[in-house]
Amino acid sequence: MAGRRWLQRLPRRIRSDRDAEAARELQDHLELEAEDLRARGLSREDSEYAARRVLGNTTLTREEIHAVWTSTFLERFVQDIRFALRSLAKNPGFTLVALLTLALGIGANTAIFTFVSAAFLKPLPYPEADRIAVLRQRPLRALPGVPAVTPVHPRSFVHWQERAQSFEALALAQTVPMTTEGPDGPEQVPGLWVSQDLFRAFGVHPLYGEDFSSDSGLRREEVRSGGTGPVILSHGYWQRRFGGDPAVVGKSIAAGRSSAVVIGVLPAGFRVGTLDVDVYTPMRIDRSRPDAVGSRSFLCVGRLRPRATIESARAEMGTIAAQVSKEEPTEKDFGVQVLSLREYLTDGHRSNLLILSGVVGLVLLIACGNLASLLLTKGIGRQSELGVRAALGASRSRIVQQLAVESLILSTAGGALGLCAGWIGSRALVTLSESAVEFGQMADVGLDVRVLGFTVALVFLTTVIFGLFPAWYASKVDLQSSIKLHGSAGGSHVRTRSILVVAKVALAVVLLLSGGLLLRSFTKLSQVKLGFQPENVLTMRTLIMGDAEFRANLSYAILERVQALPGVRSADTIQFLPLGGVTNNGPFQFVGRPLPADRTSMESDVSTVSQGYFAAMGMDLLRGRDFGRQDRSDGPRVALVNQAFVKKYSPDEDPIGRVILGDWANPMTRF
Amino acid sequence: MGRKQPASDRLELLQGTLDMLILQTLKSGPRHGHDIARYIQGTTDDLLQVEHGSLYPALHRLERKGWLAAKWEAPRDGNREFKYYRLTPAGRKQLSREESKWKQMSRAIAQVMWPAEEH
Repeated sequence: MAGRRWLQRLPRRIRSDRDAEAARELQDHLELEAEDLRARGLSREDSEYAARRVLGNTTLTREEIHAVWTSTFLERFVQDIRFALRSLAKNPGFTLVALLTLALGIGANTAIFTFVSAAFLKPLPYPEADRIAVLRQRPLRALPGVPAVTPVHPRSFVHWQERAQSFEALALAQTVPMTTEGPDGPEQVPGLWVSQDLFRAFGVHPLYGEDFSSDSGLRREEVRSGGTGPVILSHGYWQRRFGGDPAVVGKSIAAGRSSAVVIGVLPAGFRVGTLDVDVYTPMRIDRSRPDAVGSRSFLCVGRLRPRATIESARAEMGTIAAQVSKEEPTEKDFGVQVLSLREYLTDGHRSNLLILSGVVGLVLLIACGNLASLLLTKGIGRQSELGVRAALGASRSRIVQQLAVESLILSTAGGALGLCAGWIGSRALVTLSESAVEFGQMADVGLDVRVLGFTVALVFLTTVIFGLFPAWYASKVDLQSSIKLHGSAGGSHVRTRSILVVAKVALAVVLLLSGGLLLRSFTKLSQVKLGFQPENVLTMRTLIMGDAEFRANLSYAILERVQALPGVRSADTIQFLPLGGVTNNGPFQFVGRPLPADRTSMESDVSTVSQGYFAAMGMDLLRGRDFGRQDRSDGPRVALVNQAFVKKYSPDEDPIGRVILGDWANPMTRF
Repeated sequence: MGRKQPASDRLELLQGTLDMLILQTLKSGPRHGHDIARYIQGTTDDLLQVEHGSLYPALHRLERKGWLAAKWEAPRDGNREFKYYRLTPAGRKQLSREESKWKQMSRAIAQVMWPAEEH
């Protein structure tokens, strides 16, 4: 039948069920009408043609039926989108500039927000993480050379542990490198020396085995292994070294010169704040001799009891610290600081992030300003087009809607580009800052739900800021003048654009100035005289355990081997690398001079170095002699001082040959 | 509009009137689109030429407003399915509303055209 062929020729874009139904309805009508006409005597062909003529334009009819059922808003919206896409494609220059500007503005904000999200919004990976607190000590008076917050001394810790009611678990931790056997021979892995309750403080339980909290268990393992005792492995190390073998509990690993027994494995992803270590070893603190484990160099973590808060803990610990400072002479001048874990992790970064967020926010504003003026100009250029539309009957809201859709498309596309740019920027920032800054959750900085949501919100915001306003403006179409004249620039338009330009310039100047200042500080910082030559200097870190003689012999043996390597001019050891932020520090006094009234007024940083250090670092000696072989442990103790020391403590007499007493070691001669 | 081929004697129906006629036609029972067109033409002896092209949009509009309900079914004497429209209770109410409106308007027009002797 001719009718069937007609059905097959249906244009493909009409696909909805209702549409097919309407088509079928009309087709039925055609056939019935043709039947009627045939009954009246027309030929088959004639009846068909006549029926079609009676029915009229079926395509139009079907569109009318379609229009009955679809919501006009959606139709118009789709129409606007198509039109906007076409008009954007026709102005590739404008579209490109707009997209780039948006990508930059949104991208910068997204990049910074990944950090903000990781630092402040992302939940910490521990159960009830807001109940975990970090305690630090705070010198009550400003002491020279001592920072505003310090790690915790075990003496204070044992008192806190006894007396604190706010915490259900308090623990100490310290990083220690561990020498163990790797696949290629001995290797050094990062380890953490932790007191009994550390895992309880974080609310984490081992995946396999047990943790250090059961005293009897620890002792049993110590006796059994005969070595350095039980250890707990991190998930990552367990995977690498034992291939994820569930029967790892009870196996031994090499530890230093002996071995240790694995008693547990931790769940994946666990780390202590920023410390991601491979092996955990237990710390036994003897309450009668807390100094045996070390001095003021421990991380202290605690878990609040259910009904305690950080504030209440702070008050209680303040009182306890005051008591302890009266009881323990070493703790005399120290108070306590209680921070939530998150506060601790973001300490020092908060203001930076805030400033950065402000800066990129301003950048986005400038971008919006640019886009607004671009669109405004474009809108003025379209006055004739808009005038025609208005004349044809488009209401003002209709025109605004269409222009707004254009802005929406621009900002959505720009937002997508900005998301990519932001991700790239974020990755770059992470790489750049990883070496310089120990950021709380750097490993977690990346695109996540929050960042995506933030970007989407930004897209909407930018649409509103730069889209609606020019749209509203451009739609103020004066019908007559717009159609007659081509591109008339109204007076009010000029004033708006001037305001925009002024605002943008002001913001840009602010940003440029701040950026310039920052750059200058950075350049100056990198030009500071170090006092030594860092070029071509390589550093290695290792921990050697044992008595003094063993350590000395091993160090010299290593030094000799290193010095024998081709390409090595000189080698040495030093206790703490310069500019690393860690030094040994303590008061001293000259022998033969009256004691100063304030015992702590003469303090100095001390570093233990091996001979050849100054040669290796390219430092020159002003007077006297360098360390030599005769200054090994059996000879008289000697020391070298720097110019600042001489200026401060011995300006009028020759320091060479004087003897000083120091707290850090036995008496030394100054050289 | 280029799609129409009006014959000289045929009256063109306003959209509102077409709606009313459709509703009335369906008062006596469900019919499908062609049936409705044939009925109106037949009852008026072809005087009222229903624009077939506007019949179907009208039917769909009435269906969307809830005055008609539609169902694909086969007539008693056949096995081929057609889309049958029937009047809903809401449609009945609308019909009586339209009816009274139409009566009012025709009375008003008649008064202008043929003023009654009383006045």
